Amino acid sequence: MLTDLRNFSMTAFPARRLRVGSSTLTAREQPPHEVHVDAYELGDRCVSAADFHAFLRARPDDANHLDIDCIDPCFIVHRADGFALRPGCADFPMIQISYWAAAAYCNWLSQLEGRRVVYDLRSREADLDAEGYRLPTEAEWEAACRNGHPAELVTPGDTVNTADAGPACRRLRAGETLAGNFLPGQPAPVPVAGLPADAVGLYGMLGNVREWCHDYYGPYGPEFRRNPAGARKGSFRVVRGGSFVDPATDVGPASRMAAYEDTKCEVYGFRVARSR
Amino acid sequence: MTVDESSTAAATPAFIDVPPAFPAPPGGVDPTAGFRLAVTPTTVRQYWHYLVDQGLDRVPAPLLHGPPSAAGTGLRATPAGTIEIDPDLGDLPATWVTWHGATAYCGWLAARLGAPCRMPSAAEWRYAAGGPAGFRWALGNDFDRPVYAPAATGPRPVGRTPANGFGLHDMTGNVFEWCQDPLTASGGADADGLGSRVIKGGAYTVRNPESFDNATIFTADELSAVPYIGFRVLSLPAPERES
Repeated sequence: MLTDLRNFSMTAFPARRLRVGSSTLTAREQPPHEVHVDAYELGDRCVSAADFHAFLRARPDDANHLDIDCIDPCFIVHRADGFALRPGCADFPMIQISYWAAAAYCNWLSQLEGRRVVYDLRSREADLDAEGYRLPTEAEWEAACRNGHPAELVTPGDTVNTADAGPACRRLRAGETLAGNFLPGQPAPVPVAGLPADAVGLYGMLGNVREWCHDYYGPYGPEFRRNPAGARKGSFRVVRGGSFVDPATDVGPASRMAAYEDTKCEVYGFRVARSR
Repeated sequence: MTVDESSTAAATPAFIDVPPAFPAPPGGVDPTAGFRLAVTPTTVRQYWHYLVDQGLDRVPAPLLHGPPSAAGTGLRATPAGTIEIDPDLGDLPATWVTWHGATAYCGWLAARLGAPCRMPSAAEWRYAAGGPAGFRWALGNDFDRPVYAPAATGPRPVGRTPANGFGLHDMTGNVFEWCQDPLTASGGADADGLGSRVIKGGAYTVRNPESFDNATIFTADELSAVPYIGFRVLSLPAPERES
């Protein structure tokens, strides 16, 4: 069963029109503008190291060593007999993966459920009309995040794993148990559902790891957009939600950053989405 | 499989003298008494010579190495569990070798050469990479992306880029190189129990200039068998030559 192979569930969101962006954050979030998003489902938490490990063991040739880094800190290493999940790492978010490794995981889920795959990994193109798993567009991500977290910014404290998180949150960080060879006292991720869910039941949208979104990064415009899916081309992708290295003052539902799509880093993870 | 003994010179690494550092090189590295360092990372051909000599091409040794079944990186695992070489790829750096595998190779080579062999420490590696001028990267203080980090999907043959001031090739870029040093959790109880070792020099899989900096320290699980980590051997004078 597929549900045995993954630890997240899908949360449904209706079609709607909403305002995205912000006039009070950085230039990247300006100008605020109206968008329409069709109905979709979003993973209630990030894909965990155990989730991703199931994919790597099942399809070891689908994510090559250019897409996943197995040098410290990391929750999955690669030994003579293949990818291995380090002890005590199962529930931490999958990190050290490129955008295209996340896309490969999405395709695997689609194939398991008999859905049409979204990504052509060879040509690096996506078919958003396919009903399979994919990364959320940044508008979908923001719409879901605003539902669960209406405030413009995070309040520093124990409920969000930002750089300035409180002591109860910091105690959950990987370094406190040396998970993945994160070291004690260093900023590090917490388990994907280690902190309380937001008002709509989503875990870890803000803080913890920046989440790969579908879109090529590009500046916003003022005009209404219907199902926006990013710039037409580029090599930088939108990442959302901030991370354990970002201060709370930089993290909110509207805040956006860009990351080179081949980057593998311990601050980038992802959650999956699919159209309804 | 037989090894052509007439090419023994190419079958073991060539070494070059890295002179003693005096005064201490920039960056706070301890003075070093000097050592001999392999001119390039250990190659596929050299590692293959060792495998054949030790009969390790006939039996799986997952603690030492784990070559893939696919061709392209020089050594291949067959369905029968043996290892084959693609001879035209003999000049690639030996990869898919664990830190323990690299250590075992050093032990074999030491017996063969009659001189102590091991991997360099992180400090020795950094000093050797910086050359006499103590550069930030092997060939200078500017990051030369076409030389160090061209777009690539795998390792490239060793010795195809210029030597640094000590005569060493491939210190910056191509593949990371295992060093002696363990990862330790400073102040933690498991001072050397984290099971990772230092790797140096950057690789075709990384991009930021800082990742290639001679001073930068990454670590990796010491049982890692991956295509982007290799190793080079440090040799010391034979004991009888010490005064």
